[in-house]
Amino acid sequence: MIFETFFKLLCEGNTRITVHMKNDLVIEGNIQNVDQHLNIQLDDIDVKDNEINPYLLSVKKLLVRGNTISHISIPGDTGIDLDPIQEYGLKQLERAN
Amino acid sequence: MMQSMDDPSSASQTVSEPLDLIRLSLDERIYVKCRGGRELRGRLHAYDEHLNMVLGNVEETVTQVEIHEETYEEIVKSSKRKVELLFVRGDGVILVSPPLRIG
Repeated sequence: MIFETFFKLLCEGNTRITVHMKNDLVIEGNIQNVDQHLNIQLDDIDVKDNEINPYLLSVKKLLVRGNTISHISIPGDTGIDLDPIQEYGLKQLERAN
Repeated sequence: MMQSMDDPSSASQTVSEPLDLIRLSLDERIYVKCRGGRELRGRLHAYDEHLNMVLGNVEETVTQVEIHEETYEEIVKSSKRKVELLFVRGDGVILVSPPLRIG
């Protein structure tokens, strides 16, 4: 829940993120949508290092299955305040206990 | 699951399960070891039960050991990069700890 909320905030700001996948593919794109599994929809993608993977040259939008993601780089100037998310996460943990 | 506590404010202070140790590190700098020879050092902003995490001001070190074809000697290569804000998927995380002190 907490990270789905976090990504939904990024969607609203149409943030350009860089998704690093477990198969070492790196895709940069505007985050359009996210779901509970943290599957991520990207728009206007730009595949870094097109030489190792030319298969996505003509692709503009795609959906990345959440479990294939290794990590995601996000620019620091998104203007998103992380404190309310942190508190929300802590409350969730207290409720779970 | 914890038994219900009379004082709700003290419920967030007791350490009863491993994830509570991570809760103590919120907003602190931590060291994360990930699969693929990846190490991260950054400030922990958020985490969940899967160990998905958002880290700020991260320094990522990737270490690869290559074996030379002819001499069979091990070549250790490491590269660093800095990321302002990083989301880490929990299934790649091996361990989380306070930053290692040198010396």
